[in-house]
Amino acid sequence: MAEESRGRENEKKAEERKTYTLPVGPQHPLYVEAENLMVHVDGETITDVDVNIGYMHRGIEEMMQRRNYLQNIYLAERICGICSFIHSCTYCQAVENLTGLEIPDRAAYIRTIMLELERLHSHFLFLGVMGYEMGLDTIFQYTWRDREHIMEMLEEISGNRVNYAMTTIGGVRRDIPETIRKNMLDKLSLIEKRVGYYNNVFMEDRVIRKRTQGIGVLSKADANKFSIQGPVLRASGVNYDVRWHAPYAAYPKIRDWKVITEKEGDVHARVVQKILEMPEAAKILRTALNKLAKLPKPPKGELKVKASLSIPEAEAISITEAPRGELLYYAKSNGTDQPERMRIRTPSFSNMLSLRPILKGQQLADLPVIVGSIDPCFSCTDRVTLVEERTGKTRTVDATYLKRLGESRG
Amino acid sequence: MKTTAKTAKITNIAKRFGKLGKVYKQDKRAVWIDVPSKDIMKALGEVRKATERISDISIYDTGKGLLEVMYRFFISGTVLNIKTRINDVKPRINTAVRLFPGALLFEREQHEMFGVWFSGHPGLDKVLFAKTTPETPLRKKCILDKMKNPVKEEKDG
Repeated sequence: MAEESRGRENEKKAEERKTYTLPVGPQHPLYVEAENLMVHVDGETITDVDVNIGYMHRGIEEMMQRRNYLQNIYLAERICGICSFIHSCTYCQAVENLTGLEIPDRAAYIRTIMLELERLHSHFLFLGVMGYEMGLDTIFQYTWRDREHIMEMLEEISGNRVNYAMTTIGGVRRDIPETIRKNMLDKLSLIEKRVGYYNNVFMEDRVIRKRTQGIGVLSKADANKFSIQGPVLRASGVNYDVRWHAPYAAYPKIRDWKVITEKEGDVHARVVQKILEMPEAAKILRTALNKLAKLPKPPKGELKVKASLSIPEAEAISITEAPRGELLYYAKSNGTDQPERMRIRTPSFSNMLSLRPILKGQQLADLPVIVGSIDPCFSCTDRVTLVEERTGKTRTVDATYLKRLGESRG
Repeated sequence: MKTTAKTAKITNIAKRFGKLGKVYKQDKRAVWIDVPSKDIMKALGEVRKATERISDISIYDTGKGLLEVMYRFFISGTVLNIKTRINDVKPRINTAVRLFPGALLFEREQHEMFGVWFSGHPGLDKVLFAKTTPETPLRKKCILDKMKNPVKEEKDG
């Protein structure tokens, strides 16, 4: 028994000799925000991963409880630069649900248009980042060029490229003029054509397929078990999209699109998932833009209804589909103009749990594309440090090394 | 979806889970159920039969000696809110992680913000803040403005 025990100990020690811990972040090669992954590696194989988050925590729930309902719209909008509209829209919906306020039709369609434009530019950004991480700089540059059409549309409508200040409690603050609407319809055709091109590239290019297929697989069972959200969930074969299953804004009236799902749950499926979601977003946009032309324009058609800013004691929930998945706001009022409690649950927070199952057993060189493929709203570095557990020696490598390692897999 | 079909769905959810406690609110997209704290695990067990996904866990400090713990699920296009109340002195409640592994981070976050101990959680530790930050920052008794040094300096190494 003693020998057996000693054997196990030695085996453990031998195992330990082979194991390294690789801190990735708080600054990380993929993103501009701070996050930390402690990656345990045996040679080049990832054996486990610990996810440390919180570097970007700004206490927004507490801040919202100290501001009035109007001020909070602008605070919610600043939670994320990429998904700024979905945050302000979900917040406004939560406050509207507190009082049972119904927004005008025209406002619902304008919100839907903004939401889908935001989804399109976020998906383009994701494609560009994935191309860059695989060493395909042409794809990166192409997507950035095509994304610019969406950014221009957003700028034409709102005057801003991010933080659009378009929505308010009870509706929207600005209309979409007829000239801009027509211009958007023209640009949509161009975007649809470009999405077709990316579809061909990612489906047919052998290098991309070899680099992404069978890598970082998230099974349907794990996706459900860990309550994963959005495109990552759908890429594992789960048919769940808040826009379809609990429609809000104008989505209850727009049903000529379908929820895309993939089966494989690997990096390739997650990329293809987003590419195939883009024509569906364009379909929703086209329907909404066409419908907008038929609705009465201001001043006859209202853009917002008047909302009281002192809200009696109540609680409400608002749930939407952000570009990265289900976004949830809970609001509790107390009769004043400030909320008693605000709770925000973002999709990336839920999706953090997917990192462990999809990274275990994978090659270190695949780490950038796997982490990138869940499109987390976090962080980026230009260097990482390798620590040898046995001797405590450290070795620092930079982003170029990691990127070269990633590219060498191609 | 037609309003009548949607209302029927929500009513069905309210009927199905209403037996777990008291349905205190039902609106156009959510059902709200109040469950006594002693029955919460039984209630979550019943929900587990309908879904393996959990959407959120949040806590609200009433400021009157009670903390409201709320579990949220998305079932058939409806948000099911299950609320229970626990004492705010040494607050403790059983973990939902055994039933819903997706609750891992939600419980850690709420533990950090409100100091609630989720008994049986496999790794209940701070998730967002450094160890030197104030305890339970979202509790009403924690007034950050009145603290001289709310965040202690962390020593290097």
